[in-house]
Amino acid sequence: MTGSLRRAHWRLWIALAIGIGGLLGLAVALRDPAHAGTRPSVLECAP
Amino acid sequence: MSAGFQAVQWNRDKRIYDAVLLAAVAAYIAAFVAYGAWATPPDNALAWIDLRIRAFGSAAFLMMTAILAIGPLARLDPRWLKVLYNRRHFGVLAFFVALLHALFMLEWYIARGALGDLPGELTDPAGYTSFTGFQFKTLGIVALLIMFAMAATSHDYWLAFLTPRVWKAVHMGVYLAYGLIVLHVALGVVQFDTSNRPPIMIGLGFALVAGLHLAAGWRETRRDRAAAPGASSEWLAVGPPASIPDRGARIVVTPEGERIAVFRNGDEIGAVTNACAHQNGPLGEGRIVDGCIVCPWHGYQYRLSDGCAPAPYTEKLATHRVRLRDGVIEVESSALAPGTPAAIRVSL
Repeated sequence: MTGSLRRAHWRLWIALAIGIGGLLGLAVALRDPAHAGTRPSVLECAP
Repeated sequence: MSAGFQAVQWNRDKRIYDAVLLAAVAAYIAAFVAYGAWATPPDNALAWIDLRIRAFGSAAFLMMTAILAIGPLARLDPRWLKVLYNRRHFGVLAFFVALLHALFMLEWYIARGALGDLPGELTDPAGYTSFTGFQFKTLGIVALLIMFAMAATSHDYWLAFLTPRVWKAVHMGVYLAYGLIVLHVALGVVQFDTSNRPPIMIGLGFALVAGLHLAAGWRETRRDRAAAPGASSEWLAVGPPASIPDRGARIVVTPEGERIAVFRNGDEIGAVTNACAHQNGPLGEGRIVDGCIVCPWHGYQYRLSDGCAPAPYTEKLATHRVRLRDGVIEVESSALAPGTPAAIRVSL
């Protein structure tokens, strides 16, 4: 693996960790306890 | 090592690996279903399907987490190389577990007589206009397609056909797939389940993968800085011949960040690129066995003298000139053409 590719990966890891981690944290933070558990089985969104 | 097709290149280690893997996955799924049926007894066929969906879905997530943790673990501690060795089968099994998770979802729709609703559900624009109401199934389907592309090409035939560089680029898609899976779970079961287990599972899993990658990357960067020479000289100092472990290597880093593995086999010293021609494995962390450098990842072999794989194999590594000056081995930073003889003999 070339040095430049390795450095690109290093930046990719950090961007991925921040991006996915941020979205995950947001999804958990926005979780609505009143809403949770009220959906039909298999988490179906359709009526 | 050749491009000839053989379905699976079995050996005893792979059989043991796969047996342990299958037993562990089967035990997890059985335990999940048994506990789920005991804690919340399913009262109809749909609830049973739902339980299977969760069992296989969580198993696939945990498998993907383990697969992605193996790489950095092996960089941090060589004892994990044993698990890295057959990671390919682990990945293929994870795909099949994820596929069953998706098929059970289809079974659930079929059991309700509502399969026809699924395309409309997936294409409804309303499912893509809010964050927590995002159509999480689409994320899972895209992740499954990526996993399929990787599972279908998880063979040395495809590695040779696509070339290692392209093959590795395709398989880096595993990170995209994992990100999609994390969001699939975060916007799916995490939103609609009253239990705190899904957010804890996904949070810990993601933190483990991200933390291990960052830790391994940080350590390698620190090593590179320590190994890189201050000046941009063409010849890089390695050290006295005896400072290179016999049948082992020292890794030096060029000012451009390229790693060179300088091996010693008795009084013979040679330098090759640190990246294996197979999957860019870290050759400098391998050993010399029977006169050949052996990659620690998958056992690919190269002659120390010229970087060529022994016949009948055809892989070649770029080599580097080495010289002994004032009792110190030096290696030239620019590489020679792959397969060029460049090793020297020194008196110890």
